[in-house]
Amino acid sequence: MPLYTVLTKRNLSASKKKSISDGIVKVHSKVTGAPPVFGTVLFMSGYRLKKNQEAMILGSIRIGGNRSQQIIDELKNKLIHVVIHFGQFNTAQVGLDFIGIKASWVYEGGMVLPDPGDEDTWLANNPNHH
Amino acid sequence: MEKVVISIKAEQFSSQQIKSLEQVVIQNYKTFISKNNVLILWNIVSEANGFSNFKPHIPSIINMGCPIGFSQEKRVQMFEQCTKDWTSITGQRSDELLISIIEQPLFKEFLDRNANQLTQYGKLRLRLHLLKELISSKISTGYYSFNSSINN
Repeated sequence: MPLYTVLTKRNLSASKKKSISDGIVKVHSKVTGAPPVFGTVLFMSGYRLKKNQEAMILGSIRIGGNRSQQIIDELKNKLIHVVIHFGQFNTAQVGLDFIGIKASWVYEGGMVLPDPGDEDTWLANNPNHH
Repeated sequence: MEKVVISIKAEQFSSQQIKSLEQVVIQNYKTFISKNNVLILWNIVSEANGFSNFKPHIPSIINMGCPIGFSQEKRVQMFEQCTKDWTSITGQRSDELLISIIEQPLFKEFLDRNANQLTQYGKLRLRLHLLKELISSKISTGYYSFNSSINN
């Protein structure tokens, strides 16, 4: 977590997938303060998207903690920009939707995930993930 | 019938390992979450389509639903037992496994959300693709698996 799925109409090149994936994880980490270590991105192609879009970003992210609406809005804008930039799409061709999941409902690295903002303590107790 | 969706990297595990994993996930689901019947769907992700921590590799990802108000104590017991069984069968480390147990309304939203982004034709195409993949995999391997990319 975070787990991002990028649905696309066409199969993207390997280099575009890598750039988009890296960009998504970097933006998520920078905007939310979450460590990038568990950032995962899956690509699924062949999807006929609504509004004639070329790509749709579906993010499963933790809610609560220090994650304000302002942070969510900033994250949304920057993630769309990353996919537009590295996928070479137009603004109207990319959409995004989040599902917010309670941290306590997710287990990763052998531990229940911390609330957003409590990652430092969590990582200190879980040194394998530095 | 309750659904559990498990995403794994293609060719990472043998058919026998997948069958063993399926058994322990079902057994743990019935022990800790619900006695309802469970259908496991394996999302097979090719190496080109998954990245984690900037590398072309993904953790194994288990997503399942639970009743509203499900006890956190039981959830943690399920997490721990599943991790123990999974790492024992696969040899993976615990940091290569993600498990989420999500209350049913949100889990249903999670399951439906790919299709919800699609045109009517896109939904039909996705349903036909999944049907073909699931039936053919069940016949050839004994478990239900699919490639979530339609055109590669």
